Amino acid sequence: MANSPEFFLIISALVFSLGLVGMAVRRNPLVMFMSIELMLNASNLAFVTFSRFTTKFQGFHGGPSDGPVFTFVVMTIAAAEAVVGLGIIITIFRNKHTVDVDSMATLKG
Amino acid sequence: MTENFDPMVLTLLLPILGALVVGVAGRQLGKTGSAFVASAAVGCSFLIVLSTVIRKLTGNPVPENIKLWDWAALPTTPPTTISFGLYVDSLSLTLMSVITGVGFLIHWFSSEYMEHDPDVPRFFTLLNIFIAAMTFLVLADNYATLIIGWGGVGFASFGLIGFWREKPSAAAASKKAFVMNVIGDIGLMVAVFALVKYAGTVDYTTLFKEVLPGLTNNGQATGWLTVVTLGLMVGAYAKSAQLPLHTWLPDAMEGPTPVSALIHAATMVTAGVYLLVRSYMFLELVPALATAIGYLGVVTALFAACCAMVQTDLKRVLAYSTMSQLGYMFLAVGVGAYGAAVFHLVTHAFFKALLFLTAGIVIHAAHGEQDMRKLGGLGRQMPATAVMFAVGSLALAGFPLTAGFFSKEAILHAAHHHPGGTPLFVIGALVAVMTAFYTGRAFFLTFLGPSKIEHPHLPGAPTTASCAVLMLLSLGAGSIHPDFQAFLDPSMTNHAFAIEPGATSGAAIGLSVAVVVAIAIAFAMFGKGDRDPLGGESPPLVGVRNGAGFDPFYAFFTRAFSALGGLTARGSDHFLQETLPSFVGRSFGSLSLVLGQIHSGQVRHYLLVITACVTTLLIFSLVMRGGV
Amino acid sequence: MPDILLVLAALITVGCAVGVIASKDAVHSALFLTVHLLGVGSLFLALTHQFLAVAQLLIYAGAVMVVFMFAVTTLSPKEEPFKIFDNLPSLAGIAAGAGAFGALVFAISRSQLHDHLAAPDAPLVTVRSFALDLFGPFLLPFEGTAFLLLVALIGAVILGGRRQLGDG
Repeated sequence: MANSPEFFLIISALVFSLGLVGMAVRRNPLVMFMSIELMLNASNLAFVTFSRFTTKFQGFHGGPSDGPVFTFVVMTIAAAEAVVGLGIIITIFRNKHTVDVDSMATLKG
Repeated sequence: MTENFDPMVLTLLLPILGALVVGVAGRQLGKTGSAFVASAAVGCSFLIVLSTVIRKLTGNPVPENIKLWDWAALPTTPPTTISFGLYVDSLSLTLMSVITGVGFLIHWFSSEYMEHDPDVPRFFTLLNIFIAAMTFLVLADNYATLIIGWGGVGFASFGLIGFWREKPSAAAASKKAFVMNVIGDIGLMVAVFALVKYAGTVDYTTLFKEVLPGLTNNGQATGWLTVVTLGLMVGAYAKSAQLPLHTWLPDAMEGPTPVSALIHAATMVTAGVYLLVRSYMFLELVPALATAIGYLGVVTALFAACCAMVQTDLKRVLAYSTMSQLGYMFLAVGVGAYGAAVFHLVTHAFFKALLFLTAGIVIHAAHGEQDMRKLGGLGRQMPATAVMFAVGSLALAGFPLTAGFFSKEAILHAAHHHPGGTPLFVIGALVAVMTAFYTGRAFFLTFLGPSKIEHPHLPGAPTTASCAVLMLLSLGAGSIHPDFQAFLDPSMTNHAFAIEPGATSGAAIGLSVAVVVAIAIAFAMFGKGDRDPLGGESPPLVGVRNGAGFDPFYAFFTRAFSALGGLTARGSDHFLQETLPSFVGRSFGSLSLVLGQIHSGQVRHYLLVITACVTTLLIFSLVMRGGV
Repeated sequence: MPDILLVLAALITVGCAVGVIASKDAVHSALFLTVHLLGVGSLFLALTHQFLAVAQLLIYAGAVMVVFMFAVTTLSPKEEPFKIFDNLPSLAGIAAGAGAFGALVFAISRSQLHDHLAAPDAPLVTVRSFALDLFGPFLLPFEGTAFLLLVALIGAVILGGRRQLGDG
């Protein structure tokens, strides 16, 4: 049971949904960022799962490596996003002295 | 270029070159330099024309067609081309002699006459452009390239009538002349289009040697011939100021007097006559239109003579007399006396240029005064000018043994002998008498009677000399007329020009007597120079003086069109350019305001919407795939 | 035994994810996230990806989490009132999350996974083979990540230096 794609995919879906809930519920931008990390990790897990269990592609040098490459890229994106996003949050904090997401509604029509 | 370079090409190039030099470097050349370059260009052209004429007279007088290059291909079967070439025959050479000869004299005259004008280079540039365009009009070897010259003289005329552009009346007159001429251009273009479509060629040689002689045998005018002839007529009527397209000519007198002499008396206005004479084979094929031309010509002559009798402005008298004389030429064309028409064209160019130039001297002398009622007694103050004006007047009146007498007599003679031409002859003779009368009136009012101008400005050497040459030509040109027919004949290979030695005929003697009597009557009425019964201000006189209602009639059309324009401007244009765009803009603005209300600016709201949409899409795609 | 360990890792992963979004204090969230990342790393290991597991440990649980902790301590935000059931947006968010989870499970159940995915008989993706792939056929995306990091670095420098630049 445990060593089947469904197992990992359901964990992935669960973590993704938790990340979504965190994004929607929390007002602290730092926690929202962490929620984003949750979702990214969920997608990473799904990538690796699909790569691991695929019968189509068996890799160039032993072992399927397409999913891991995606995961690798996503990790990099996560790192970059953390750096830039946190930088933005700090800048906003400097300017407005608050980081409550609900108070940032400049886009309101 | 052809292998044998024909010097006639230079007659076209020289004025263009002159216009370029004066136009570009006019400021550096100065007034004298500009006048010199422009005059020299035309003078050299004249010498070349003269040498060609002599060559033709002494040698082989067959028409020459100098093909320079192919200009455009015609979509006909078989494919033909419009060539860019010069057609040198007796007719074009005659015209060229007048254009460059009289043109040179007028350039010379202008070099003194215009010397106080601040804008001399522009004047001479335009004059040279005019000469070049007129040269090309006359020398073109087909109807399509003729339009280049035709439009070019229209442009030059426009620029020169409005030369004093700061005068609103001059600007209006130039606009009017241009619009009227464009009507003629359209007629000409229609004719060319019809020629391309139905005859398959616009080339003179092909048309007159191959296409039209083949049609003559049928005896019946086909439809397209009528269209072509009508188009040519419209063009000729607008250019030559014939009824009903004449109203621009009197107003064209707003231009400088040399311009009036060159363009609106001697050369450009005769382009219509040239065109019809050149196209005489069409007229032969459509006799009804030829008759119409004759009658319209004599009506124009009568109408213009009536108007001329009551004018008070010296130049407008001459303008109406020009129209009247052009009416004679059209009468001659209508009765088939093409030689007489061209002969009158030549003599008219001489004496009318002389009249205009001397009128210019008078106007200068009188410090710009053109009203004959305020002129008078100038004969004692400037006798030479008076003599020259008198000679011009006598020639215009057709006084025996002047140039005008021979040419006018030839036309009346031809009308008299034309089948059904008696009415034309009678009216023509009447107009001749009227001409003598109003010419006499103009002369007497201006030069006799008490002096009304103090310290007249006396003319200098160039003006006097150029007028003197024209005076000699006005006196003596009639003597060439027996030879003229011999010279002109080869142009029209199958048609003899109807110039007959008419000076001895009874009609000629009668005409001479009538002219002398008319001048005597004019002397009796106006000889004292201080009384002018026809210069009054009663409504009929003023009405005829202002052109007998043609201007208000045409103004009705322009007012109607401007009213229509105003209507569209206020109605549809305002709706299309103001109301509709601003409605579109405003509606997008308000729509975006409404749509903007959806945005809360809250990140979580966007997130929820995105989640809902993506989830819906996912489920939707799964359900749609189905079957699992 | 491996199954028990696997389920345990899965439980830690999911439980820590719940902890991330449910902690009142952002520092606690960050700590939960670290443990969660370690759990995901162990799942990668279970999926026979040694390199990814180590990279997860180093990059995420190490570098990224240090940045997070730094930001959290710098900002030290007040504890936010955590009221879920009297807050309509929060309820809507939970509903959306539940809906998304339902849709995903539905998708997993409806998909023909076993036509394409089978029991793993593929060879272990060793660090060596992954490195050969990454610097061979997948060189372009790898260089892309390098470029991305460079851009992020420049962006971070500009964002961090704005105050100094603005103040002159």
